Amino acid sequence: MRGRFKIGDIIVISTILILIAALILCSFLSAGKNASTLVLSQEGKKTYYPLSEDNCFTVRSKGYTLEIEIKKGSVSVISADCPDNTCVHTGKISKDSQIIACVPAGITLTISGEEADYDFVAG
Amino acid sequence: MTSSPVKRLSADAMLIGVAMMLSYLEAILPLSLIVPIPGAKLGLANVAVTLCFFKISPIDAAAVSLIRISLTALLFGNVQSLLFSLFGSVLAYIGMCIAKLFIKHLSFYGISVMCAALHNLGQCLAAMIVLGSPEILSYLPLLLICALFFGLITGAVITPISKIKVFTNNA
Repeated sequence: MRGRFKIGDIIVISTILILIAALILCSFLSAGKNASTLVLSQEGKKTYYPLSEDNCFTVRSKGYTLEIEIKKGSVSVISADCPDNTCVHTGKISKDSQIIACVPAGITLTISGEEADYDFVAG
Repeated sequence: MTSSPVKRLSADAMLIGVAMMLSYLEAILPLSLIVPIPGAKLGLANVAVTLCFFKISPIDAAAVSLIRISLTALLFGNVQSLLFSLFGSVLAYIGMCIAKLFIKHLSFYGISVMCAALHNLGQCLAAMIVLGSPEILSYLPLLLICALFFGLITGAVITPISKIKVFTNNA
């Protein structure tokens, strides 16, 4: 019976461990930049917000409403009326390439180090 | 297959039932409160699919998996969750096909971990397509760590069940 650990199991598990290590290393290497901008992606459209200013705004998408807060350089979704509330449970993000995703509303919030033109600053 | 078609049909039907029940259990279990990673799931329903694949036949497993996904999406989900499960399950199914080639060197632990990892990779890809943002990939390391732990747990669940007489007779 296939009950005990076999050589293939060790190969599978170590491959995944190496993959995890490589991916984490990659994200560390690319995370050298200063986290300065919040990028809100909504159906391909991108909106930029500076992290330096405290801000609170509401986003409506696909019939859902998300309330997003920027406070002391970190971003969080305070409330959302989507069924799973995954975005609220994700909590605060503040470091480069961290992400909050709300799948039902089709929204992602990413922290970016790139200097973007603030073509739209909600106030 | 040495067993009768009736036996095969009833075993498949039972496994669909079990898979549905486990999916429901996962849907109501507040796992996201304990492990605050979006998309992290135990994958208990895959216990049924994996058993079906290796103990009955790969074709039956495909049927069980597809029926489970469609019924679960109809009952507890929506179009998006259907797409997510479909992507994950197709990749996991491919994983099981590969595992079958190396079956002599693999136990259910390795198979579960591999399928869990592939399932999560599939869901990550689905999320990338739905949201149109490649940044989702930064979730992948976390999801893979989850896959490792949850895969070992499901492997530990499958191993004793696979020794039950119903399945050993069919093998």
